[in-house]
Amino acid sequence: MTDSREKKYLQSPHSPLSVAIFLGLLNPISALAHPVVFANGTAVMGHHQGEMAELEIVHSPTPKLGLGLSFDRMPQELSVLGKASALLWRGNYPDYQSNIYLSLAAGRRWAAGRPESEGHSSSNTKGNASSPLYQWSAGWDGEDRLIYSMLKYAQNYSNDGLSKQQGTLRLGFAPYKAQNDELTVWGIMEWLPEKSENQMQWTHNVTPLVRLFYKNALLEIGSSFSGKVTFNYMFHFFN
Amino acid sequence: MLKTNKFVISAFVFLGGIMSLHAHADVVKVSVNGMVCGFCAQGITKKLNNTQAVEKVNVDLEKKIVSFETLAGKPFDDEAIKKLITEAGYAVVKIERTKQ
Ligand SMILES: [Cu+2]
Repeated sequence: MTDSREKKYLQSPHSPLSVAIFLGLLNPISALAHPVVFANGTAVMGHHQGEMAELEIVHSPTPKLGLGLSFDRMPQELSVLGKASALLWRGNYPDYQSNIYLSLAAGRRWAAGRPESEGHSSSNTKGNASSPLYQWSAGWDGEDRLIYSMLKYAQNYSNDGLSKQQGTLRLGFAPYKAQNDELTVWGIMEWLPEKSENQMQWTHNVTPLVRLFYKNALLEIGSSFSGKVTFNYMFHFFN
Repeated sequence: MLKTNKFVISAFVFLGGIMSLHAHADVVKVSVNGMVCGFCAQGITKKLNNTQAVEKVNVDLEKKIVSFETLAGKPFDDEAIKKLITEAGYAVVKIERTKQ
């Protein structure tokens, strides 16, 4: 009696598998918490803020290396990058973990109606210019079971040199220490300063987020103080 | 008579050998630094299960202990345990082993 009831529970809509599938259907992809992961692990991440959307797929052949592809879409721009990330340092403490990582990426970007396209081709009157794109970024994160902090800086280089600078600072707090199989809830404050080549000044986005983390799925939802809706997810698979 | 005794003894030794193959050899408790979330726990559990030399893997984030039972006939020494957990990205502090 009890046995069959237990089996039914595992197949119920609340079983971990069903939740994972549900999250997977909501977004074709999924999430995780550390930048470079277990050997043979694959992470699928999505970042959405306002009109910006980014999709990233990273595979780790070794625990210290991540190889990935990222697709960025902005209102006037699309970019595709191949990315290699290395875990340069990892600190393991009784209740705390910290990581320093470096990423190098190369790819292409397509910008609509950019000024530099005018001089080039006469056939492309719409001015859709494609150019090589390079990026480097360095990051640090540190977390225990109640506090999470992350710092990152990235620079993009395009045809005319430096095309974008972006920083990220995140501080998160969990109201309780979750067990392995429990849902973890975090409140996160994110500060995102950014400067593109066509901007004279830095823009700042400050976004409070709620992070839900369950098994191999991570979901973050928030709205910036300037009203941009933010939605991030990360799913992680490994053998 | 002597022959029968020898046969009975060797039969017991043989059966004992077979049974020990199915029993658990050791209960192992590994103190690990750097485990902070369910994702860490999942990854370590998966890596250990992949060896097919252990069962009943459990990760206690509160006590920072990874525990499991080794399978008899499948040697899984401290050096191998340390290597596996270190390669997964974590630090082994102590390994305790009790025979079952
Ligand atoms: Cu973790």
